Amino acid sequence: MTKFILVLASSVFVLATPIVSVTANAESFPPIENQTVIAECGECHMVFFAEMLPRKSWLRILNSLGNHYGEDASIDSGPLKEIITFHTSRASDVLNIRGAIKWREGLNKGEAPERITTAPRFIRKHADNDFAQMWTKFKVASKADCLACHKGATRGQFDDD
Amino acid sequence: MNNLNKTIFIATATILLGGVSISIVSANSARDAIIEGFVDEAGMEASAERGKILFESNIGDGKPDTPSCTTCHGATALKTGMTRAGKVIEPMAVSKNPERFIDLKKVSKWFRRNCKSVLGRECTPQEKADFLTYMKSK
Repeated sequence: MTKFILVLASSVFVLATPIVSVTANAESFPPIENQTVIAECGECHMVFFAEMLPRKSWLRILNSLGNHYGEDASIDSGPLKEIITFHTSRASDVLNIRGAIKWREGLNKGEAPERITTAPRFIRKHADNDFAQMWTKFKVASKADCLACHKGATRGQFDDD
Repeated sequence: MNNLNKTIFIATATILLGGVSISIVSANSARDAIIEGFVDEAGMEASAERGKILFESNIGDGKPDTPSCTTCHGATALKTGMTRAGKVIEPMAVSKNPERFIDLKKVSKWFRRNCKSVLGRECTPQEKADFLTYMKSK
């Protein structure tokens, strides 16, 4: 009887223990913990790191969600404001951490790429011929789907190529 | 297992299963209330048949990349789909996904966005009632 209660109690404990998230990032992106960003952006795609684009890019993207790469992704003004603040404060030309610094390399002053896939670092990192074949080899549906090739993408790990 | 342990086991199982069925019942009533709201607004009965047509037709009046609901949601209500950015979308049919259509805020947000993307306008209350009635029936 005591044993049974013990087993029951310990299984409840195991179930209740939260999964500890891994924070070690190859590109040194701080983990994204903002619940509004996770909920609103993550419904349709991987939650991308704000450090990958400059402030001006995020302002353009987030202020035109009514036509977000061909889709209506508009959101209410409350959460929108929060998402804009989050992205602009972590933008590649704002935050002075390794990931942001890497992603602003090669950007001309005032340049605002329309997509992460047109940012200089993305282009540089995917310019190899092998990469060109990867898109077809792994049947990547969209270049926005980092996870198709980079299994640790959501944790900021992109060095698995 | 002795009798006392058996009793505790049965009691625990009953509580757990009871919790599950209560949550399904409350999800169903929340969904029904949402559908009822659109039916009221439309002023006429909903039709699952019209809902099916709306979901599966190639409408093409909205944005060029999304001519139909099925562009992203998969060929039928029972199938999984994929966003254009490569993320899996769980089936729309309530039988496959009992958590569908139980939060009015979420339902309204997605009708607003996706009707504009596919039809180039907001959906009417009747279209919303038809659509949800179809998904509930599947």
